[in-house]
Amino acid sequence: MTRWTVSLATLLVTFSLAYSAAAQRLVTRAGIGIGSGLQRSDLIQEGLFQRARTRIVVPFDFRNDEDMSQGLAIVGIFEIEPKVGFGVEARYVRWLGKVVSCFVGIPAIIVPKTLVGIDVGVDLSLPLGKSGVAIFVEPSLAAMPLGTDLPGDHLLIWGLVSAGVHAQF
Amino acid sequence: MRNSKQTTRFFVLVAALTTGTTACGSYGDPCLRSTDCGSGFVCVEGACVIDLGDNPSDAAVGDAPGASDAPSSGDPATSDANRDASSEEASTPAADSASPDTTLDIASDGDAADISVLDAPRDTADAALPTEADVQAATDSGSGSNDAVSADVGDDADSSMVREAEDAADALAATG
Repeated sequence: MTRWTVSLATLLVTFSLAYSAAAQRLVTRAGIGIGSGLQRSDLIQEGLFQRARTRIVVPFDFRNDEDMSQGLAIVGIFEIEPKVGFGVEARYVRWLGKVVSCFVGIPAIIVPKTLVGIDVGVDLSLPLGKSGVAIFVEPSLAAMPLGTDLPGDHLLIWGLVSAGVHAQF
Repeated sequence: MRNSKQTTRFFVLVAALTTGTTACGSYGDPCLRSTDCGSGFVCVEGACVIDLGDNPSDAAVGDAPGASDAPSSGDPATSDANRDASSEEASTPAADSASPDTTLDIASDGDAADISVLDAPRDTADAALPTEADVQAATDSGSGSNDAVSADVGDDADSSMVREAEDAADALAATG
């Protein structure tokens, strides 16, 4: 009995006095922006492009503090004009320094009808001081070949530019 | 130099964004997505058309709200068919003309013949109408002894009956 009591007390003292070991930590960044651009399809009969829908984008990206050069991101897409819609995009992001990152993703409009494709783009972040807040400009190119929102077997191509602010937590 | 090029590109992009067409979803408006069209419309071949229900792919831009549902008079096939039917109707003798209403009675002795052509129905008025004198002249020219031949042709008899009468007169002339 005495032996078990001493062992438990030693364990508690050891836990309470020990320093916490270094470990992986999730680095999160979130933002909000607005974007639009041009769209192209073989359905267009007049001109080369139409203006794409204006959208509000809400990106969240996640990185491991031990490997800040790459991460994953989830982007909420809210189409607001001239028609409304909602979708999400999953991205793999690769940072090429502190300012530039590039990504490849799978955007999907979910409602009111579905639209799925693939996109690539570049994210330019301009830090505003050392607060972790930055302005971002994000040109991207997307091809959307799937979904019920496409009238027939047509490929829809988006050339988009989004801009906004994001902050790191 | 490089800045001016980038500036030009920027303005081209802005111009394209501001002048680019956007779909508002009314009839005939351009569309690239099904949801570009308003309620009651579907996107077919880049334009919003009226939603026809189960099979919207059958719709076409020509399905305008004011478009006539009647068969198009400009349809070549349809007009040809109508024209053919009408011309056939005009050229083909009426069925009544070959009916027993038209009888030819020729006397067995050959001296006299009684050609009796009953009045044809009045729905064959388009045929060229020979006069009674024409028929009489045709019958007189083939025979000298057929003074008893008489032809009674109705005013609205058609040409087939006249031909039959002429054939009968020729037969009488040959036998006489």
